[in-house]
Amino acid sequence: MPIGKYSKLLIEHFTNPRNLGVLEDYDLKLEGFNESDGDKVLMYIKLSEGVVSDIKFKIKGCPRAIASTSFTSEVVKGMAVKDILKIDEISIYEKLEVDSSFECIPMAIRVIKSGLSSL
Amino acid sequence: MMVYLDNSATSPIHPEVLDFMYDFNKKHYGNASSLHFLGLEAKDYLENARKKIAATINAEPEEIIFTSGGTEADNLCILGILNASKKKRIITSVIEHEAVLETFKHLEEEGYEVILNPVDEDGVIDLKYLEDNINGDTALISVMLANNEIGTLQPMEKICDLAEKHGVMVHTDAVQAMGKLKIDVKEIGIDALSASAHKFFGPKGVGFAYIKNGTPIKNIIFGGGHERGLRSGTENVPGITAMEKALEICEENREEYSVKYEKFGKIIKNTLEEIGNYKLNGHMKKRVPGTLSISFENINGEALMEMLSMRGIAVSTASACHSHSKEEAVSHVLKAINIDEKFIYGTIRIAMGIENTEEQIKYFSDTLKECVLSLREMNDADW
Repeated sequence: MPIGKYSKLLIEHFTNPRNLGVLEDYDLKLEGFNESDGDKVLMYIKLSEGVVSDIKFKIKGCPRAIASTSFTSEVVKGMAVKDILKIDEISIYEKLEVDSSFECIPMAIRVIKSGLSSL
Repeated sequence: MMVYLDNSATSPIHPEVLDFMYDFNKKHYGNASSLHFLGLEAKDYLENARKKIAATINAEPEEIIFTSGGTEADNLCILGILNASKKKRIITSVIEHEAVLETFKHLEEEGYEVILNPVDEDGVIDLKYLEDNINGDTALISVMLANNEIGTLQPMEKICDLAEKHGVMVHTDAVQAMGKLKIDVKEIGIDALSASAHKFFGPKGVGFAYIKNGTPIKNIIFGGGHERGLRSGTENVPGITAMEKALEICEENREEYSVKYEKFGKIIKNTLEEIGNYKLNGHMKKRVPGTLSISFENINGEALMEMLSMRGIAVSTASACHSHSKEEAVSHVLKAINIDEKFIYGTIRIAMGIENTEEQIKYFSDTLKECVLSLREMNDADW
């Protein structure tokens, strides 16, 4: 089936989301919302020596929200907190080839950065 | 398997109509205004199609004006009637198609007083509100016969009765109803109506307006004076004859199609019961056959539509995040019928067509269940 409006990477993450699920043993449980489309995400993060050692999420959202959350979770897993805080959300739009006006794309990175910066 | 369930957006051309069009385009390409034999032949086909379409809706042939489709027919009826009137108040419903709503928006900018009539939770127009808002300066009421998203039918006869008492013209956008329901313009008492061929298994780019004899109206397109001067431009005779053929097929088989859609609807509803936490939108009885608007709790309609699309199933969603504000992410129709927040983002529309088979509907139902449950699994957590 031709899927013209999404990039290959976005389709790949939407159809096969990484890190979907819950963590029983976590340090942070974060909720994020995108009010404009009713998207919501629940993030579980496990930290180990300043690094995100594990991450899982549950989500209700559009294909872009699901794919960007999956993509973001893959990016931050194994990354140092100080480096995650430096991630520019524009880079996620660019990687997934989505117009920067879609508010669902940075939902995951915003909630992760907000949670980590409050530590 | 490919399953097309988006016939309210557009329908495939019926195979018989397609064969007819191919043959017609090869042989009868004359301009209906030409005076030689090919032109006269085209004119004969044109007038024959006009007679047959008129008979289908119990109109007179001269009351049928061929257009390029539903949007043009809506524009002709609304703008044309207003061009012939000095009155400045116009009324439409909040759940109209953009072809009407945007025309009204334009008219508001031009100085008309626009009244947007609310609907109830089933999408049925509030008649009390309508009556209260008709005054001596009201020129026109435009209300769609069947809604394109939720399928609800409007009480057009009551609307026409009300309007007649006050000397107000009534137009109906019948784009979603034509071919699916028996339409008798005299029985309804309507002054103007719009229809589009590609919604009833005819070709795209052709439609018609019914304008009751004696209705004051002025043309909105200027040119060679075709269609009684109301729609200049060479008539699309192959398209018009194909439209007539498609409408004839729909009329002849209407009962059979309705029974088939009813049966398919039951299969889908049984699956919905298995899925649970869903809501059917629109009026449950007064509705156009073959259309179901379903809202699922706690899932996103666009994600569901995409998952179905990847499995070869074409449906539409009324809650796509094609934009960036809640105002635009959810359709104006769903907002107007006041759907619960938990359901509003999870809406898809199923619009069956004559080509659908039971095997396809079963495949769709099984796939729908699989996709909805998979999306629910994604958000099944202790929020």
